[in-house]
Amino acid sequence: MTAANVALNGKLSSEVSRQIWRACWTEAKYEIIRACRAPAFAIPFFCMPIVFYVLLGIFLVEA
Amino acid sequence: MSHGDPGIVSTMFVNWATFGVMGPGMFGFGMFVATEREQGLLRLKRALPMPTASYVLAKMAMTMTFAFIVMITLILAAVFIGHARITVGQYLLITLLNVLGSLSFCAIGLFIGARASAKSAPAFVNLAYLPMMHLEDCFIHCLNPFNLWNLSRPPFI
Repeated sequence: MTAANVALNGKLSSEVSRQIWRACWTEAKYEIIRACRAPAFAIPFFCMPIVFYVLLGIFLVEA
Repeated sequence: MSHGDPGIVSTMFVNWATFGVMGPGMFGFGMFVATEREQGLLRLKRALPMPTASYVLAKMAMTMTFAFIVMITLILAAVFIGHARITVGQYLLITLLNVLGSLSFCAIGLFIGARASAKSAPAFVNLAYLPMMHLEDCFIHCLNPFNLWNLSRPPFI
């Protein structure tokens, strides 16, 4: 294998790995956006812990 | 656990933080995977020129993002409302542990989502979620189950 072939293979493999990472990143980004846009999923999981903690963990203890 | 113990706010912070990171992993995987499997989206994804693992990795990233946001909100509440006696390093350590620990709940959710139907998945997830919520010591004392007096009263009293 010539030096030119080795360089070409390395360039191709780096390009493929870059595309794979970009696909994973895009999938993750839109999965997060989709979950945030689902109010039945996002609102309870963002609000429930803090509401419970403030009511039961802070106010009720201090009372 | 409580009864005059000033550290109860800190203890409750850890309890509710763990409760907060459980939900996105279990429900996010359990319900979404079951729904997408029934709609045939997973079959469509197999035909797409993308890595197979990206589907699971994306859901794991979503879970970790949600867990991180939950931790931020709880830390803000603990600092500004509860005045919990926790150092910055401890906050960071708890956040790191909880964000990484939320991945273990993804496994439970994936197990349920891969087997249950879309309609029954929320019920099965709740069957696993609610007992674990109580075992976190949020509502009853489970750390010392042999102490019946402790079991009879919630930790915040």
